Amino acid sequence: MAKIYADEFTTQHRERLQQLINTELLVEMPHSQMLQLDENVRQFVANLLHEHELGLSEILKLRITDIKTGLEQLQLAVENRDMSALQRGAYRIDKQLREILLQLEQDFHAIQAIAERAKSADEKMPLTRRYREVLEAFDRYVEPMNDLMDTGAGGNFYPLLEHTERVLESLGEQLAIQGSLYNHQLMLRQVGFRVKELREKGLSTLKHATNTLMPLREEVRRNDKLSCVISYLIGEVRKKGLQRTFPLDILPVWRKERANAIYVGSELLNLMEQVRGYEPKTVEFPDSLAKDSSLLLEQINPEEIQNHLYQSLPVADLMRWLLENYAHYQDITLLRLYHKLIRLPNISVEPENAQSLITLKQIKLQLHSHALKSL
Amino acid sequence: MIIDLKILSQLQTLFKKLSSGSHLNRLEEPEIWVDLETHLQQYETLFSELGFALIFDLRGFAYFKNDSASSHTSKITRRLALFFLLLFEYQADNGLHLVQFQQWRVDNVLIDKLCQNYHAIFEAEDIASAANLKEILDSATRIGFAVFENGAFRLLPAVHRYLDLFEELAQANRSDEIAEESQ
Repeated sequence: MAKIYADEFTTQHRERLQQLINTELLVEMPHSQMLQLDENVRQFVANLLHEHELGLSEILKLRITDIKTGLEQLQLAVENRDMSALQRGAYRIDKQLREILLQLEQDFHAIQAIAERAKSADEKMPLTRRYREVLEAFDRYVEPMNDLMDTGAGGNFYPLLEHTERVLESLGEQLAIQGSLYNHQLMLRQVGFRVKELREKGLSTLKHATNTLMPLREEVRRNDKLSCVISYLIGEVRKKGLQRTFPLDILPVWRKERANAIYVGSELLNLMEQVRGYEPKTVEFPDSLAKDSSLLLEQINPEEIQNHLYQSLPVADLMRWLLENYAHYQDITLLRLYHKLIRLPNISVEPENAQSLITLKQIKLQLHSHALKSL
Repeated sequence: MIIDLKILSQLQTLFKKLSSGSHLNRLEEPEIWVDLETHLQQYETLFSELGFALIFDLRGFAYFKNDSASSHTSKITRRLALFFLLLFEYQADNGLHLVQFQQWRVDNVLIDKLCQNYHAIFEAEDIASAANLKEILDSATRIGFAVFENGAFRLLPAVHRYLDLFEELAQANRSDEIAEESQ
């Protein structure tokens, strides 16, 4: 008091103390001048201080030895039929069990908090720092706990609990046979229940801790392994080059099955192949036919014939004149000439009265031939 | 085995995606993923009858396994492998969590830094500039290894294929070396 409130007087110190006592924060010890903190308050403060601290399994070990001595005490008490010693022993074990339970509860929360801190920490924070707490917690807490809770021969704590349970049961039976007070039997049974509870709680806490921390720890391990692998491969790439470090047959590959590009189809390729070996086919044209002179038009020189006619005027019978001079022409040509010549200008044309019959090459003509005179 | 095509509601979309060579990622296309996961056996049978080997990875991606690749693809995949190697190395140097690569933001700043840091090694592979790196990432995006959003790339679970490869390769190489040393 004097240290904290150095500038105050003794009377003021007394007043403050009295206040604390009145609010029952401090309790006067019987038969002495000393004061002590109220037990509840003390525990509460202690819990506050240790809330995030993992109850070390070392402490658990100490408690184990205490429980062991408690058990011995119980056995002795039953043998000696010392009921007050029995009560003391039971109380001793019970107290330890309760504290262990409380501690497990705290550990549960502490581990949860550690995991959450690690997960929610700034992801830019280096991984080793982020997960350091997790790794430490795992090494310092989960592993020793694992050893302690080992249900096999290697375990320390779990077999002890089983042993305690058995001892308590047999003691309870003995008491029942001895016909002791029901109260005492009840007390032992309660301790027995608490042992069972603790056993389950211990296992579940451990399981929970492992489940929470193990994935994180594995993550860190995988991370370390991966970064190791990657730096090794980069070294290889630097040394041997990319192509030799990553042979194609092991790299992930993919292929587009439905191509958007247009490829030359097989039909077209066939066609192109055919074109490459193309030879032109020779087609035989038919020979030109022999000229059929009878069907063709004859070449005549009408002007010459006209002039010939003018000179031969007068002509008594035009058809006969044509036959005399141009009989080698075809019938049709002669007839055309005939019609053309009677229409010539500067000529008077008189048809004859008498009808004459003239035989040409292919036809016979019956006509009134014309006589021509110059005008 | 009788496959009721009516219950494979995402068949068309799924096949379109996978047969284009792309990866299906759980978080990107949850609807298709759920359908695939529920009717996995039917899908697997159907695809294998069609000549496709469906690989379904519980880490959240699926794809058609393919052994032959075009020359373009083989170039891309090798470059992607190099890019992932260097990206992961860089991130590990910065203390980042490698397994949580899906949370990284691969933006221009990061790409530039990679380019500077590993200039020599990139140049040896004809990747001279940040633009080249972005091209690689663009191809990765088309195949389903990454996604581009809010101006930055984000890696997708399919990248595990490369990580698995790295581990496998390192292990194989190491055992080779050990064998050589012991001889």
